[in-house]
Amino acid sequence: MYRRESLEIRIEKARQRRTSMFRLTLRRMMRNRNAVLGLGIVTTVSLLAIAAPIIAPKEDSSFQRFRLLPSPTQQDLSNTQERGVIFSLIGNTYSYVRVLVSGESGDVDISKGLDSEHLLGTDHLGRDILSRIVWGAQISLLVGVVSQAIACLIGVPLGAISGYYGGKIDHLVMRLADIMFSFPFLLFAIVMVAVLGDTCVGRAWGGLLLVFLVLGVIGWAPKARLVRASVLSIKEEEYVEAARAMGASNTRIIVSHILPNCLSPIIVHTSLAMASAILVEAALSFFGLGVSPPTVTWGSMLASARQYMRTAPHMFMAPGLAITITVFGFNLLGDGLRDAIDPRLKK
Amino acid sequence: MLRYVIRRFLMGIPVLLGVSVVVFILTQVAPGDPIRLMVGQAADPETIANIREKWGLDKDPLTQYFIFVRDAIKLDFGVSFRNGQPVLDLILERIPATAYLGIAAILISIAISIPLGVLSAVHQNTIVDNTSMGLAIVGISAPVYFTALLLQWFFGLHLGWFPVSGIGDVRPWEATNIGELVESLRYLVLPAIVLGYPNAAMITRLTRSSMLEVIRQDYIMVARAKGLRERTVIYRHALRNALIPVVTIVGLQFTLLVGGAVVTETIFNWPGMGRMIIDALISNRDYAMIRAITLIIAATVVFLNIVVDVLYALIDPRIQYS
Repeated sequence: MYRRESLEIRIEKARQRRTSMFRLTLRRMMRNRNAVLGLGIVTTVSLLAIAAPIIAPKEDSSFQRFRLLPSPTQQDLSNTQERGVIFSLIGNTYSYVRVLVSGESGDVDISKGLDSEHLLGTDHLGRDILSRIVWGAQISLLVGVVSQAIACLIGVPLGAISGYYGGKIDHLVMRLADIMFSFPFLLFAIVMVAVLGDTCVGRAWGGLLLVFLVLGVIGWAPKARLVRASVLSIKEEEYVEAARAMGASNTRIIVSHILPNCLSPIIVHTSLAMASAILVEAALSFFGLGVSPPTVTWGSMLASARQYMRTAPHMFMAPGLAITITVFGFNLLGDGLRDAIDPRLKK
Repeated sequence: MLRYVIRRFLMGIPVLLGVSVVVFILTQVAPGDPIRLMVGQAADPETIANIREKWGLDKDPLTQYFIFVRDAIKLDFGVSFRNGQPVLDLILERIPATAYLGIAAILISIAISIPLGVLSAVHQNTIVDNTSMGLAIVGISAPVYFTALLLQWFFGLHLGWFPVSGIGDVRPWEATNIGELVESLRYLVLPAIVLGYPNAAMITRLTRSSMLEVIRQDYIMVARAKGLRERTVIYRHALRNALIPVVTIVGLQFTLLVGGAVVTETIFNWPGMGRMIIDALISNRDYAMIRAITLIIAATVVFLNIVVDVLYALIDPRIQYS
């Protein structure tokens, strides 16, 4: 009876220790201003993405606004003076078009054109940019999360097996990783999505499935290397030996004794890799690859804004800043997590 | 040392073979018949069969792969599916423009980032440090295609200081007078900054952390205790040692640079390899070209990794290779 109790107490203590380790990390992170900022940005963007159907309903009715006024022709646009161009940054396309059509291009009172309905203005088809940014957040985050999940699903087991068993399998996995590392990430993604874009996988879910798969499949190699390195050091620990002495199977040792202890580098890497997945997805959309319209992505918004750069710079500012801020958030969060998990690394 | 170098090169061979398999499979599974794309839907079957035979496309995939590897070793990448010219010639034509842009970008990024990283480390946690670290993390976060548009809009269209498209009529090395040289360099400024910024950001961060590590070493304290000037301590004693990891990263950033070049060249209409890849992929579906370019780039990466490893051993005598 006494022994049993003591065991329970010990388990309870161990559990408390585990929580306190987590709490410790969290507390350390919360003391880091940059990490809190990063967490704040990531949380805000996530909430916006989840709440998109509620807060961005303008997307559907957008074309009515388009009919109110004809969009300016290229000639209209090239006749405008620079002054109008700067104003349109603060105002929006809708008001700007009105200014254009009425033929005033000198001293324009832009408050007249400001439209409280469109905080970030409208695009060349009169669609509300803010709504599109919010919808675009869904795709960006989805790509970040799903592609990283796939990358972890492939990379973590491969890395663990490679590090734990060593030998031929280790050699094979690491050479495969070397092959992946030989391709520049962005270029490889562009080539794969472009080449496979016309297959059945490429057309599924409006191109989204292919983007998930490509970014996931490309992203496994760094994770496998990270896990392998951790496993190599952890498998020499005494508690692993103890588990083996108690007759635990290799699978059990890997899954419940080794992997939980190499989670931290993976978490940090995943946060930073999400940032780069978001960047690459936007680059793909920018080239017209991957996710196809009518799905809104930040990259495609940037691409279509390119030809209106002279007259409507707000069109590229909004999605560009959205990508930058989101990626910035993930980078800050990743850096902060790394410093919090292992304060020794903090310089 | 020599044995290590040779072994590293030999280890590169299976990796390159793997790369060639990946590249070959990718272009094999791609839908669409490249020959039909080239000769048009109306061509008679006999012509198509002839071309297939001529290019070895009638053979089974395995044989095709062996032919592809055999030719690639001889640097023969076949002819472009689009215009029938040898792919290698087309690529060689484009390399100078890309190299010119890439080298300019690296030079700009090193010139900015190493002093900035040193300043950040020396004045740790001051406004200088915070500002440059802020700029650095923005540089890592801001996509190349956004900074490109931003600079094009502000410095090109709004202020009108720099041209936003093309490489100009005269390349700097062909310039005959100072006016032409300046004119051709004006085309370089924006794309080189855009391409160099993310690299600069990474090098700044790395230089800073590497410097911080070195500054705390005993020999720096000794140097100070000897009464050396702070400048000498920082630049002669600390920076030299702090640069060792930085050198390797600069070498490894080639991959980042290639990705960036694809985007930068497309946006700035720069006649280099990056734009050629996009053209081959999106407008032309020229798979011979894609195979050749990806293979060449991957081979360059493998080669650079080896060079960086060897360089690392050369500049840091503490590292021993067996």
